Amino acid sequence: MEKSEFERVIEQLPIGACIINQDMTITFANPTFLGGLTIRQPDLVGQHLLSVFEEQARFLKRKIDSVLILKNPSFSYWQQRPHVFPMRSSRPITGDESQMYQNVQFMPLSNDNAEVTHVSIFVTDVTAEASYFIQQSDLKNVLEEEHQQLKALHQELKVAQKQMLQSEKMASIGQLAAGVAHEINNPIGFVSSNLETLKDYALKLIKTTQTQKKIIVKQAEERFIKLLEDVYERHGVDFIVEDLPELLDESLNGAERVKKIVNSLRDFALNDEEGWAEVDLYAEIESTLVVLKNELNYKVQVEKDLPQEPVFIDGKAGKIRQLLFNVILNSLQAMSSGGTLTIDCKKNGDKITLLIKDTGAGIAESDLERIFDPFFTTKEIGQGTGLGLSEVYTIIEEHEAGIDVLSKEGEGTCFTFVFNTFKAPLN
Amino acid sequence: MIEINEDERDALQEIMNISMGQAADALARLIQTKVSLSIPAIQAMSPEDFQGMINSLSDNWFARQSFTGTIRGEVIMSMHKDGCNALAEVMDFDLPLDDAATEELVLEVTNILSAACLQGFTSQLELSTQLNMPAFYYPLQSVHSNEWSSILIIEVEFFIEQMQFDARILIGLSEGSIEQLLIPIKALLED
Amino acid sequence: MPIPVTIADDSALSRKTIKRALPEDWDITIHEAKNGVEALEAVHTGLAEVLFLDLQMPQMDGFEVLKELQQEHQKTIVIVISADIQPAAQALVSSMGAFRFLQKPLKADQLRETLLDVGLL
Repeated sequence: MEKSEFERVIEQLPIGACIINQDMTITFANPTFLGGLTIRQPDLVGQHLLSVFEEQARFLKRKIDSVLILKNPSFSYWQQRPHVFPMRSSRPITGDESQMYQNVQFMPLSNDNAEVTHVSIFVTDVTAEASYFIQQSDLKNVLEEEHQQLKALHQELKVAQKQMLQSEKMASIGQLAAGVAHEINNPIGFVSSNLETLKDYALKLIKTTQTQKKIIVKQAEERFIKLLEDVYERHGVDFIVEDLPELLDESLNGAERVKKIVNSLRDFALNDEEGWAEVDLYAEIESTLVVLKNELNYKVQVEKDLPQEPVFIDGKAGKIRQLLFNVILNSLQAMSSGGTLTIDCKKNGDKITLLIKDTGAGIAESDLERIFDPFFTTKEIGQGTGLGLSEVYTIIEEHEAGIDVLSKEGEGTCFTFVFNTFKAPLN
Repeated sequence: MIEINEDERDALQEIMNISMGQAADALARLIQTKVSLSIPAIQAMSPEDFQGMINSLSDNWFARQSFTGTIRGEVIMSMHKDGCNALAEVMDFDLPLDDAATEELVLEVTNILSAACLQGFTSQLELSTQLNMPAFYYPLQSVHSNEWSSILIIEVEFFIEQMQFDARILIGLSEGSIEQLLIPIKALLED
Repeated sequence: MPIPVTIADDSALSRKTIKRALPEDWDITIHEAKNGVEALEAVHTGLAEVLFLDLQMPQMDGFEVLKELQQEHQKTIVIVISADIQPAAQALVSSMGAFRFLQKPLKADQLRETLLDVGLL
């Protein structure tokens, strides 16, 4: 090939080529290099590279110095330095970019003595790739963001679903309880009141018969007295007289208890759309214990340490009841083979600290941080939903209350709650 | 595993020592500061060894630069993040370094060290290779190919005491290249 | 009388390279040392009127050898041949009494030039 052919190739090369000498004076620039520039330059040859490209002078000097000193090529990429030379995009009409994205190579040119006399600079237009890359990475960011949003939404849905499940469950239990309570309330009312009357009648009848017997003993013939004593003896009247009031008392007691349970059930089933009010903590503890009477078998002892004066929490009665129910039920289930349930309450200023402590199985350290997670349960399948304590947590959050759990496997668990005292609204 | 005998290992170590000396000199001349370096360590590695070594270099930036020709492989440069600012200052970068400038600095150092060192050993062994452009490398994100079972890794550490600069050059030779590399080494060891 | 010359370098290849680069017309006896301790021994036993000294060596490096020679006021002509080619190393060894500093990889013509320069040829 003749030299002119080389020159023609260089001129037509779609790569900007520029050659400088050791003084950084431009000795050659091909048409691609020259034509790409956005600054007006009739000819670059003879000009100083750094004064033509003042904006990038520091960078160019650093690069060229390193090539001259090290005699090795050096590179620059669009990712770190997109526009070394002010050149226009190769797609002025359809492209998104107005400036050319460039990869630049700085190559040493040596003479026969292996001395670097010139540096050639090649500018490759990578606008298309860069533009594509930028689009892809923007797209990736958008997708990433959407993905995060979806993830958050999914999480919210999960929580909502869990809450719905729980409230649905509570609602249906509530309806059932309310229905049962209503049905029992009427008959137990008249059973109780009739028992009351019955006791009154019985005492009167006993009194009457005893008086009658005394009169007969005083006045009647010996054989009638004997007859009477026979009848008494045969029917065990003395025992009946003794036992009848006791039986009635027991029945009355039983009826009273049934009434209490029914009332508790009805309270428990109250709709939780109630507003904020003063909640009598002791009353709630009592009614929860009544509802849980069945679980409170003879093996579990309950110790209460409550101050004399009543304590009122700022909260929703239904929710507080549910919280106590869930926590105490858990405690009782942890003590299936017996133990002590301690309920402690202290008032500190406008805070109320409630301790519910059991001597049950305890919670493994590895499980401790998950007990408030929805659906987390250590019970066997079908024994628990794993929603109880997550519900407790939700209630605590709603009440802006505090919760703390201490537990040791084999020794027991202690829940500490800190509630806000109810304050009467000013006015 | 690749097997090279003691003489070959000694020869390769000496050749690498000379090459790395040239690389250190290149960097030293550019930043006008003395650069210290360790004795080259040469070892055959499995993919797991290699991954383990890369993973052990936490708090490092990585760049890689491949070379092709009679022998093929990659130069991997790791550079401790703490040393970047001081080095950037002597190399006339604007401080504080932003992400792009940090990458530029790491690529620059990679290019300087790998070009000088590759030039060093290929010229001593009269091999011909071309060094490609360096690229940033995020080892944790990339799963290296398991197309090889064993490679030869030559590792040298560069440090500049007064500026906390600590960098490492790993030259990994592909499986077939080791035989190619041993031909001139054997010739040098003859007679 | 041939001049006793010692080549001190831990690398066998390096010692071989230096031997190969030595001018054929130079009348010498060659002794080899693999570390600084052996190099000093060679000096002490009269095997090293000229010492080609590597800097990076196990068991006493080149700098320590130079220091020792200086303290002993030895007249050995030391020519350092090193892979550490940074200006700092060159300045340091010449301040420590080395006659010349040659870069690795060693080139035969450079070695000849140096030997002529210091009047050994």
